[in-house]
Amino acid sequence: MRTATVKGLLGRKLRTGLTALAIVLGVAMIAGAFITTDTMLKASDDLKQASYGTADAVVSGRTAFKLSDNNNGASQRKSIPESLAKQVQSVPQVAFASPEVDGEAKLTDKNGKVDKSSSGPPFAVGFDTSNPTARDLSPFKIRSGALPTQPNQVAIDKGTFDRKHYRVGDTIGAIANGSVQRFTITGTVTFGGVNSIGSASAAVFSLQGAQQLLGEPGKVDSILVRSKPGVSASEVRSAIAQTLPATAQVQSAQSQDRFDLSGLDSFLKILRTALLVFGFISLFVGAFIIFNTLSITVAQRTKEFGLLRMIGASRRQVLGSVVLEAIVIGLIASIVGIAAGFGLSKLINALFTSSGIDLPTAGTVFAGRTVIVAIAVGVGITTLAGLGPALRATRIAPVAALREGNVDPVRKRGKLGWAVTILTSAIGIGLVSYGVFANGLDATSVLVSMGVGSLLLFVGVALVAPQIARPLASVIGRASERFGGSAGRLARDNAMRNPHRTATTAAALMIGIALVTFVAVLGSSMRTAFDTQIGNTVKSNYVVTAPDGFAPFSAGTADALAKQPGVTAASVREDQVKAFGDKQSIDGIDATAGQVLQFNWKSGSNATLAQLGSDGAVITKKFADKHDLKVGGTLTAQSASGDKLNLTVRGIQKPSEFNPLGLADITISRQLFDKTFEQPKLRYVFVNTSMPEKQLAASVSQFPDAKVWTLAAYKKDQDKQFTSFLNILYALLALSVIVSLFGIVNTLVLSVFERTRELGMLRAVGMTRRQVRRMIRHESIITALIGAVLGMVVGVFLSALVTQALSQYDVGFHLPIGTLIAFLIVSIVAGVLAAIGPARRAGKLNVLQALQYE
Amino acid sequence: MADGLTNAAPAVSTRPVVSAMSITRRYGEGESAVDALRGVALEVMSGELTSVMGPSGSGKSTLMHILAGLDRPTQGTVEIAGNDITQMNDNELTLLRREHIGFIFQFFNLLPMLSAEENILLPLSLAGEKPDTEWVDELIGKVGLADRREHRPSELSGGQQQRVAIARSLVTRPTVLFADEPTGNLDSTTSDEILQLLRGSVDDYGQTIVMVTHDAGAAAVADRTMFLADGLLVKDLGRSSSSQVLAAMNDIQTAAAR
Repeated sequence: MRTATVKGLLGRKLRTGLTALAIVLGVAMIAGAFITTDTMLKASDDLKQASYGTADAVVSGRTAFKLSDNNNGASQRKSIPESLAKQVQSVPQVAFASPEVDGEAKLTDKNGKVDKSSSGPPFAVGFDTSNPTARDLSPFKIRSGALPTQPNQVAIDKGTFDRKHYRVGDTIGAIANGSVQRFTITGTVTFGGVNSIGSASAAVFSLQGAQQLLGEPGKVDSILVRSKPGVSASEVRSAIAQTLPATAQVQSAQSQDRFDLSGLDSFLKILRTALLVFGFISLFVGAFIIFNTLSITVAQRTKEFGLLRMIGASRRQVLGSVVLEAIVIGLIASIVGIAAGFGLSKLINALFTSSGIDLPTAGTVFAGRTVIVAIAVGVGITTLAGLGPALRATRIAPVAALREGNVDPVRKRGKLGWAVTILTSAIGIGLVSYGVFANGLDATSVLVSMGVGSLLLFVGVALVAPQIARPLASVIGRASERFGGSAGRLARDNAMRNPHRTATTAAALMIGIALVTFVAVLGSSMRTAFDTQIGNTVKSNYVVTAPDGFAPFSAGTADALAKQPGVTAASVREDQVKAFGDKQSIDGIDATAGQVLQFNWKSGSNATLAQLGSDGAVITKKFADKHDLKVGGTLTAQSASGDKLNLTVRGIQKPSEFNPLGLADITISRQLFDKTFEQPKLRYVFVNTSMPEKQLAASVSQFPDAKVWTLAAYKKDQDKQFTSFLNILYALLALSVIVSLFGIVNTLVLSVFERTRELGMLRAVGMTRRQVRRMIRHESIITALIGAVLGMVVGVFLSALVTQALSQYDVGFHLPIGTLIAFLIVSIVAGVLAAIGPARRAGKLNVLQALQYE
Repeated sequence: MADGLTNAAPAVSTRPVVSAMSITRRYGEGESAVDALRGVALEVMSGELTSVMGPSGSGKSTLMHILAGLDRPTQGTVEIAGNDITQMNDNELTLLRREHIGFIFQFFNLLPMLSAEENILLPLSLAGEKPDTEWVDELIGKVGLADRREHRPSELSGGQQQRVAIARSLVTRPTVLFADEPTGNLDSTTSDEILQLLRGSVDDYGQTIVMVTHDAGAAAVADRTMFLADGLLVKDLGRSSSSQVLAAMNDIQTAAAR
């Protein structure tokens, strides 16, 4: 029996292969998710490991708390005098002390434009590049060319170098706090063993060059220490600690990470979950296809199973044979899928890179867990999907062997069947509604109940689908009849003749289309809400930001703008403080802010913004409620450098729910902000003026890290970022659509095979090859459109539920008609693509052989 | 045998609509090659019901397939209505079939999702032609399906299904109709009805029919019966009774046995 199964599979290579493909992509996605994120986490780990290289100790300024890198505000390290390096060098246990300057400086190209292609932090570092021990201590290693030795030289990371097609000897600019300074490129550097530091860029200067650029002559940010042979790292640390002033501290290289990558790590974990979710969606779609394909092949092999039963096979053996078939298919698919996962992980990386999200990479990490999970899931899902057809095969009576032809057994739904269908759909809708509307659920429960609910809803709709497939095919087929003539008409009849098969095939596509529709509708509704909320808050006609829209930029921009005649400008600067024990963003705003921004005041008014003085603060309602603060109440915020701010609440405002500008919970006056933070940087300048855009842009041309937008252009750019996020989702969901295409291909191949003699007759009575191909193509399009229509109905329904729940956040239901029409067109194209192979096969059938086929 | 050939002069002598010249058909290559036809020449006259008989393996089915353009001869040519079909490509052959050829199969080969009438109209619909309602009505009446127009094949008996197939093959008024064992799948009473229908279409409409059969009763309704053995045309009888046909078959088989 086992031999018969395996031989049977080998004899139907094409069918087995096509069926396996349905699972391959899902498994590839899961393997790819693990490989990609394992690799990135490893890279992030390497970054941490390498961040202070081989230093035994790192001396730095003492800060009150560690800043997060996901803060958009300026980096505010507390610098230490360069002379401290000499003092550390004189400690007996110290072999070498290398002073280092660390900061951020954006690079500008030959045209003076800021490199927008790297959106991560632009690291700038300077050390004594002429000293071999200092070079050894630094994690930045020369890769080509030479390290800079003069103050006007720079070595940059290979990624930027290649991307901008620089050559050694080119002159580029760098901008930190002042205006642009020019540097000559001497070579490229890499960071530790990491190929790329993701979207970050790096520039290595001589110690002097970095001090000039970052505006701290005579000061450094850290001192990297190598201990004498035989002295342990902890011994050298305690020896140094005794000599340091109170403003400095000594730490191990590990605890003094150059980068706080906790943000990246948690992003990678979310990414992994997201990719796994998309992998499971593809597998879920694949399960439909396995189910459908095995159902069809079981039906086509009725005679064979009857014969097996006749010669003595038990029901259990028949069951075992079909299940074994599923297991073998699942196993083959999983192994191929894991291999494909490697390729996919590269593709995912490319996808992120092209969307401007460059993540760190290192050597590919392939964990044993990846293999185990991929195989378990691949085989498990295939086997589960094969159970239904396997059970049906056991019901074939031995007498079937004697009957003429193989007939699809008529499946009649009993009361129980209907009860299951209705119950499944109802529980699905119930779970989704619960997730969306119930109060006080955490994000995970909301997502889980929505996810499980949607899956059940999909199953429910798939169970109802055979009942509605006939009328749907009939209606959609009208178009085929119109455009495809006689062949189109036959296609319509063919799509209607086995509604079970058409429905299950379409249901696989339905899932993908439902999800993209959901994303499109929700995305469009959110975007509309987002635009409205920006419009409600921003009352200026220009917005100035960094070229990428969110990076911090030079504070000088605001002053340059304010000096222009007929201009009302108000800047927002941002940094971090610790308040009530939590790290917190803090904004500093100009007194003129009330003229360009409209806050939604709970207490106070726009005039309050001009009266903050040296101790006033405006806080958000959320923050006020959390800490039980009222106007007149006080709070203390501590900056990273240790300064304490005693603030009095002057106003409470409630920002719109999405907080589209990303403003902080605490807002203080610009004067207090600049007094507290050493090197303030800007998030926004809002400008009201009748000056034309060109002239306004010219007035800040000495700050290449600032960009002037009209309000409309700014909104559009924000939309663009939103769109590229949606595009990533579409690309990931496209995978499940592709999987469902294989389902259509499968069904078509099987029905062409089944209808061989019929096709022979059609050819004999005058059907041309073209007409045969057209007929198959239209069948495919009809099936695809049934899937698309079902999917859109489910997708719109789900998104309507969610927008209803989001109405408290001012989100209205907004149908993106254009996008939905595009999805319909995509479905038609998908149908055409799926039909290519089967249609060619059908067209090529030899009429005579087809007629004699049994 | 020479007698048989000279006796073959048809009652209503007209022009040939199908002519085959020295057809051979070889399957496979080298040692294992099989010669299904070893040089057959014949002419099918317009308005005649010609039957082709022979023991299994004699090459009668191959001959019909080649005459109908479904298979190509290894050598020789076939002309239908004056067109050499052996040089035609697939598309030309399809168009030829639409215009000049009708088929009736042993297993009816109806489309299960179409009604009887839709099945009958299928060749016209494929060719994109409008049906001539009067002709269709007459045809449906003639095959006795006037009250079965809307029935699906699964709701019809075997004989009724074959009558649908006959109407389907006649609806385009083809130059020649090829019937491949049209009664092979039917009981004897139904077979007789079907044969009478075919005969009737020759007598009433002057339809030319080539019928492959191994049923002597079927051959008896033909104007002419050709006998094939071992890939050669061995006998050509005019209108004969079923006992004459049987006798001829016996002769051929004993000749072969010797």
